[in-house]
Amino acid sequence: MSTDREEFDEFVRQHRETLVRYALVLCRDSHFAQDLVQETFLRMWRIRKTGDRAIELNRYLAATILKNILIDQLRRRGKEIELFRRMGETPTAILPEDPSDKSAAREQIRRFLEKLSAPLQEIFFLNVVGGFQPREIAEFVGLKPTTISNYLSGIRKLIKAEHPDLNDDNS
Amino acid sequence: MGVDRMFDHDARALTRQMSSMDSEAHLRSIIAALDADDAAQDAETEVSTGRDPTGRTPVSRPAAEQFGTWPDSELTQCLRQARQGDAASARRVAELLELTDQATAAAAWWHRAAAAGDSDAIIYIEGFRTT
Repeated sequence: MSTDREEFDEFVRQHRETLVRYALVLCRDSHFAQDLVQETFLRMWRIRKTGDRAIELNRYLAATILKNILIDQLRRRGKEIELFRRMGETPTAILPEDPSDKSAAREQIRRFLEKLSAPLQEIFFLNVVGGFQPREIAEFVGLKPTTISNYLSGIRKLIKAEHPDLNDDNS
Repeated sequence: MGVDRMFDHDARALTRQMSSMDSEAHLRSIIAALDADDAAQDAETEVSTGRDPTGRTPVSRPAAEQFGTWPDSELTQCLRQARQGDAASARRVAELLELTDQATAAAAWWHRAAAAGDSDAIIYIEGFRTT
């Protein structure tokens, strides 16, 4: 086994679980998420094998490839109209139905989130559903952690402005 | 109820999905797929071109260009479009300048993008005021 391959296998071991969680936030299907992650690593390894070591193996590259694969897969499955109708070209988390909560407030939040751009929806859902911290989200989307924090803060502030009846979770 | 609590159901469902997965089996499956890919490529190289004496596949320019020079390449492109008045490009310039620790220049572009009507930049500035 080559040194390159050993390094890559170690990269896989270190980042597999985090990438699966990331994929789950986007697609909400565990089998699909695992397939996406496997295909992502395969494509990363092929890029690595081009011999250009300037291509850095990191979560941003992995997340970018994973999203591209997800877009391709969804197009092939004919679901792009359903999933991308309000999100441009980027797949992102769809707020699923919560059988335990049919409240009007949740529906209002859903409508508010649908108005956000796809990258901001992704950032928001990675945080509140995926449990990722701004530093981790920053690695996925290729931004500074402070940028993520400001985006999250801005989204929460706007939600509060539209729904002043919502409590602060931290209070 | 707060915003985060509204998503408790989704967060718990995701955690359940994660814990129900067989991590070891998934890892083995990935490693096996990588091995199979290597084996297939080795066979293809031998048949079609003869083995590369360095043991490496030739550099793929598109891959190198796409991932090797980021974020400089994207910044250059976005600056050009932002100067032509594109609001989303102006916001992207702000993000990339912030990423590369050029905070002062980034601040100017955040405001420029917001003034041009980019909704993400407006939300960012709203968030910045609270932090």
